[in-house]
Amino acid sequence: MRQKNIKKTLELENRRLNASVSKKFSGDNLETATFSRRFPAVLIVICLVIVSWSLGFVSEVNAAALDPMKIGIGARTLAMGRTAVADAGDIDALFVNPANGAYLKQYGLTSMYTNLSEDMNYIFLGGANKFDFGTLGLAYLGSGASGFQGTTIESGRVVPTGSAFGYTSSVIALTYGKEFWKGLALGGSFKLFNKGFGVTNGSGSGYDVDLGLLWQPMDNLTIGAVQQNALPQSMAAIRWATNTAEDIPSATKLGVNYNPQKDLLLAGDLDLTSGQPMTLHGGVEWMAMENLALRGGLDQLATSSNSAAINYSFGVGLLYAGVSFDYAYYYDTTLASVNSAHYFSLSFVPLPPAPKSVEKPVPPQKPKPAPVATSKAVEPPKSVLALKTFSDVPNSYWAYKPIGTLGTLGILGGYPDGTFRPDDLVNRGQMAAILVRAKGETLEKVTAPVFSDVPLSSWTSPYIKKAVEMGWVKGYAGNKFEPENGISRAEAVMLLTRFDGMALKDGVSPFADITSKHWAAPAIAAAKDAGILDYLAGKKFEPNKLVTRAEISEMLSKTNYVKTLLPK
Amino acid sequence: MNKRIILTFIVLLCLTAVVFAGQSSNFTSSPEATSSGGGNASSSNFSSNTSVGSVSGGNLVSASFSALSGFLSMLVGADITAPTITTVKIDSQTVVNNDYVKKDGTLTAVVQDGTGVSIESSAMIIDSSTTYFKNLTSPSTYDASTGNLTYVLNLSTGTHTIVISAVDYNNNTSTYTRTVRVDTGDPAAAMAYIYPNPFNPLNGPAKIAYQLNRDSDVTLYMFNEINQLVWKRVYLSGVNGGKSGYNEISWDGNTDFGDLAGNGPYFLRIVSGGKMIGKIKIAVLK
Repeated sequence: MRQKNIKKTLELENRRLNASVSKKFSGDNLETATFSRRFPAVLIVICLVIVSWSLGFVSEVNAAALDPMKIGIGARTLAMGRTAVADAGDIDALFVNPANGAYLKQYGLTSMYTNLSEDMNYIFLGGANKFDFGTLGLAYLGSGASGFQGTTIESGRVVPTGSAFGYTSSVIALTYGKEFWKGLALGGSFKLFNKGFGVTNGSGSGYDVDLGLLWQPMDNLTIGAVQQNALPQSMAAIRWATNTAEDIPSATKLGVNYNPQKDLLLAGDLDLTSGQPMTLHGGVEWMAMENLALRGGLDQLATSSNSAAINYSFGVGLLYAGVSFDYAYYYDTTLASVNSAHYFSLSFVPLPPAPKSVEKPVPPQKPKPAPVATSKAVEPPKSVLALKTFSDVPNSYWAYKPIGTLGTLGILGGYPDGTFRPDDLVNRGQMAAILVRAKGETLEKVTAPVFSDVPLSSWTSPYIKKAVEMGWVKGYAGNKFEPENGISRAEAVMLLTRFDGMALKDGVSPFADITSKHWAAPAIAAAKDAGILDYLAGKKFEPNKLVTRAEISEMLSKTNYVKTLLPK
Repeated sequence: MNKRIILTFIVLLCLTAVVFAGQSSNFTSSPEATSSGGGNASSSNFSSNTSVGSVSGGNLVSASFSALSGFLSMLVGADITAPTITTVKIDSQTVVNNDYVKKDGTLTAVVQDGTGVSIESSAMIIDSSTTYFKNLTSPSTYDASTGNLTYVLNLSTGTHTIVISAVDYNNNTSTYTRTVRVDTGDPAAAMAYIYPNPFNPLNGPAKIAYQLNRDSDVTLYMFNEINQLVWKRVYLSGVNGGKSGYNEISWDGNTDFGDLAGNGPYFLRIVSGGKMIGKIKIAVLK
């Protein structure tokens, strides 16, 4: 049962991490968010707003063309009041604010369908992939309607001619997002528009760009800004075969996402569009169950140059194995019986773990012979320790030192591209490998599977076998180990206490959310006393939170064993 | 020789009659009514009142016969001109067949004749019920001096045929016929269109037209392709936009955002009592 819970938790965590800033909530040190780190981002936000407004005023508002992507992308964001500006890593939101794509974990596919008032059909298809140079996304939004009746005048009356025509529209968007500084990502989208009626000279096409940024001043707070259709009419417009050109009005959107607790997301967007009143959007997402998200939102929609309607939205999300089905019901208060609409999305964002190469640090540093104190330990450096650095772990990062320490010791290395990816989750198989490597244990060839779900061909098989022999890890019922499942904070602490040979402490409630009756309370209390959990001082323990590579580095570096490896 | 002269005279007489036929139809017929020749010299009404809402004319044979008859009547000083029935309206609205009207709507028309309209023979015929002008009671009236006819309808729900039969003292007859509908049920709109479609606001305003089955408070909502309201107008029951029958609204292409509607689809919702009773798909293309 517990095993199942962990698996579900991993799925939820993955979705949540991709969809919000909660990935940072697990253990980052808030104190590292200094004013100096925030100041440049504040300036950029202010500049973006100023520039966007100036562009907006320049834009020709007469006969403005409509950007169909204003409908909103993804049933999840629509259920949350069309909030998507600061939804870091969400596969849908990156097509609203391209900077969101910087925090996509690996790749994702998404889709959406709706039919507005039985007249307009919309279909959206999108995908994005994270590369070393940033995240690229490609999307298509198609829409259409039929039954536009041709008319004439007979006997002073408007009468149909009997002929009808249709309308089609498409938007192709190419997006790019990258975290250029820690906590600050920038992004851009290029959008190609095609529209047309089924009549002579009835088609038009054009392009425009979106510019966005995303800033994470705190672990559970994300602020975003996007300038949609930023180019003025002189540079970009929809040009029709009738020789008219229409500007696509600029829109500035600011958004905030906040996680007051790990299963709750609050989101708010502000929309500034030329010629329209400022509108607000708000949404909430609550993980009611491990595979079920409940959402609600308020969405203001301008109805004239000086008024706006408040519409309601709500929806659900069902998550399983990286696949999520999202539904949103949008209640239009202007004309509820006609304009209220249903939105459906199906998306896929793969679960961790990271590729197997995660445990193959570069350059490979094989464990050294054991020091004097223990015959199996890694040999400590003889000279002053020069920490190994990684391109994505700046010295301001909260776990910079422990990551560098373990990297230097060859216990937990990085990727071939020089990154450490500190926010990536660690699964059970990887955890076993980390511990075995830390101790420099000699691996033996595995001739028979130790667990039924750990095949001989798995690279983690010898590590798991060794970790079992050492008494650090145990399997689940049914001779299962579930090596691909993420490891929770409570499990990790339990393993580390065994790894470090700590004496458990019974009858203690070490954290506000860990009573003495919790199954891992003795281990957690022992680890806390040993200083392994200092980074959680003043916080809740959150035993089911999945641990990241940074967090493992922090905890492992505080074990007595690793301390013995460090120079005096 | 005499026979030749007589024969030639007859031929010329016939040709002259044909020429007169065209002129006669021009000045004796109302554009809304069907007229038939009569006069003392010819007591028979050969033109039946079966053409619904049609303009008078007839075929060449009947026209020629009519003209010949009229010519002969002229020779003897007879009246061959049928009464005119003009400006027929119900509740101030010109009516075409299958229009919705109010069950107690007021029909007005001008029925005139040079020699006088016979109030004994002229009548309002609603379905199979005939009311001669002389029997009209207030508020239904016919003023012979001005030709103004006022008739208050009393129709039940359903389809009805309204006929104005105007007869002068020389038994020349004109008729006006319309089929109308009465619906007292829930508000409904039909025949909802916009002209032109596609609509280019730079070329002038468009006409938004629709039929209402009854007087109703009506709100027109216009949404763009993402269901954003861009234009809204409210019309009270009984006035243009909210009256039974044909309604026609002008739209200049400007939205409530103060700018010209961009090229694209727009969806007009005709709403009454919170329910959509009709819709029009509008293509704006400049």
